Amino acid sequence: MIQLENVSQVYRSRRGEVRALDEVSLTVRNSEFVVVKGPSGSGKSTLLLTIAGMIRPTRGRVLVNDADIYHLSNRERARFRAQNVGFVFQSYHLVPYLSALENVLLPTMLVSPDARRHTACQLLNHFGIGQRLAHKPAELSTGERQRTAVARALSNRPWLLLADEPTGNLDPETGLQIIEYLAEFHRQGGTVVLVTHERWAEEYAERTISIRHGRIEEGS
Amino acid sequence: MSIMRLLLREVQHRKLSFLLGLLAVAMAVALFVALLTMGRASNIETTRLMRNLGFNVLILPKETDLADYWAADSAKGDMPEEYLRRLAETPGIAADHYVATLEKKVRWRGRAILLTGVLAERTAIDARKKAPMGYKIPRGACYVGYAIAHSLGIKRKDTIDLLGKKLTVQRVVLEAGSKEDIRIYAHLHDVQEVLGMRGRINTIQALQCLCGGTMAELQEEISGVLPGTQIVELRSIATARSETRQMVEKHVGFIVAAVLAVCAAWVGLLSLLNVRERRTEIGILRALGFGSSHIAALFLGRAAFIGLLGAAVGFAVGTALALHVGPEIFKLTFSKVRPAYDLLIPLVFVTPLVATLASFLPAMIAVTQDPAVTLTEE
Ligand SMILES: Nc1ncnc2c1ncn2[C@@H]1O[C@H](COP(=O)(O)OP(=O)(O)O)[C@@H](O)[C@H]1O
Ligand SMILES: [Mg+2]
Repeated sequence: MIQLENVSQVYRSRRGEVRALDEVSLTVRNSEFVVVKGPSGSGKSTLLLTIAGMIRPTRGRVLVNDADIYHLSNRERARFRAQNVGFVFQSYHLVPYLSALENVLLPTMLVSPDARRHTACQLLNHFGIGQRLAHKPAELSTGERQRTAVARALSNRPWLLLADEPTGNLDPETGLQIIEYLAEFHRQGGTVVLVTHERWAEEYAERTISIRHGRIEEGS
Repeated sequence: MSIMRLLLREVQHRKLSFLLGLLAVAMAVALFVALLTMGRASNIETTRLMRNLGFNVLILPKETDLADYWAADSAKGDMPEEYLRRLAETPGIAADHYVATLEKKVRWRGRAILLTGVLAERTAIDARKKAPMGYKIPRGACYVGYAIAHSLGIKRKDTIDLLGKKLTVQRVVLEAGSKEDIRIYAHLHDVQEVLGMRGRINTIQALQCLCGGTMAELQEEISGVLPGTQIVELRSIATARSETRQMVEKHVGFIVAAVLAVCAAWVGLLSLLNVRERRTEIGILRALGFGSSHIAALFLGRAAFIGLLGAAVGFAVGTALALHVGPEIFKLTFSKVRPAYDLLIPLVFVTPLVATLASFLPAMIAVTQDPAVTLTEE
């Protein structure tokens, strides 16, 4: 279970302060599929990064299964991410110099020294990249890139999948395919927090949350 | 997948950046290796030259007037031959060789000649080194100067009667165009007999070795052992050359330090550019669960790898340069230029260390970079 308690996230830069999250309280149950929507700049990405233990909130607490992840040491928090969280981004964010297979194997080096090559190949096969294992991201289509990214997010068998507008750069058909994969992960017991603008994607979700100016406007 | 593999893949991918770093490191190492290799060769050569060209310290009895010594052909005053042995057996004097001479201008067969008895003595410093050429004359033998030999028709293997002593001509010395041409060299003891000066000598010449110490120190050491003597420094081509070498060595140190600094800055800058170029990647790795130590290892390891490869390439290039260009530029004997293999091991350790240190700041920037900055940029 993920609990955000009065979380505020203020970015300080030379151009002044930006309150990206403003007193956000939110609970995501295990095995829940939550869609987060909101206009650009409303704080959606910040919300995901905060849940993942990537940016310490200016105020408030983030509890994952009752443990405050920002009370962990940096090393422990990195390990928490490696073992529990999968990330999918809008612009795929594959490592450009690694092949599709190597990208999927990348997170596994943090948890199992003997790289789970077999599992990685299976994942890629499942997502239809079986014939493209040795290709670099630049040699893949956008759909293939995002499917590789999903495979990478799942390669450590996390229970939590955070997806930040994963369909933003894809044609509707490919986008649908990606959301189907997330739904499949959810059906198998995984927890999904999906940031998206696609109305149809909300149909997969058990709950939709709207954010505006860093505040949650309860939708469901 | 491992950090090492990740690192190698990145290097493969961004070849140019890697090669630029490698180039800088290899250049610095090559310069250092080439200069050092040639410096050593030049050292060997200088030592050899000094041995051939003559002695750089002259020990004379106190009563010898230096003005007379240089003006006349031989010196007034003499000292015991035993001084030679005493010098040679005293440890800690920075000289390789001593040659005792007894020299007198005499008339022989109606002309003036310089009769010179020589006896060389090695010191304990390096007993393996050979005595200077031309000073090992056995008893009963002599070397005859060119002018005398020519005008009197003396040839090799002739026997001459030198003021009552029969000596075999072992060599007619090549024309020197100097006093050497009217000189007859013989063993010290033969000359002492001929001149009736048993156990006496009038100079000891010493060759200062390149084992450190200044001329002043050497002079002090010698006068401590030999009372009643004066010590004169002879400035030969060899000493001048040795001074040049010392001066060059000083500048080489400066050049190498400057090049090292520039290359370190260059490597650091390239690392910084690498870090900047990989900002998003760092963010992704963070999101995937890579810790600070992984990120640091990735960038520091990359620098160390550049250093390691640069050391190897630089050593090869520097050695090749010294071997092929050195002999021409520095007029060195090719065989004296030897690869400085003893440098290889230290270089292989030190160069990656320097490259890593140069990249330390960029790596820290990578480690402390806020992933939110790159990952919210969409
Ligand atoms: N690293 C940062 N530094 C300063 N401001 C930031 C930073 N990241 C995001 N912001 C600002 O915070 C707000 C929320 O950003 P973000 O979470 O990316 O919104 P969304 O994903 O909903 O578009 C925006 O106004 C954005 O400009
Ligand atoms: Mg966003």
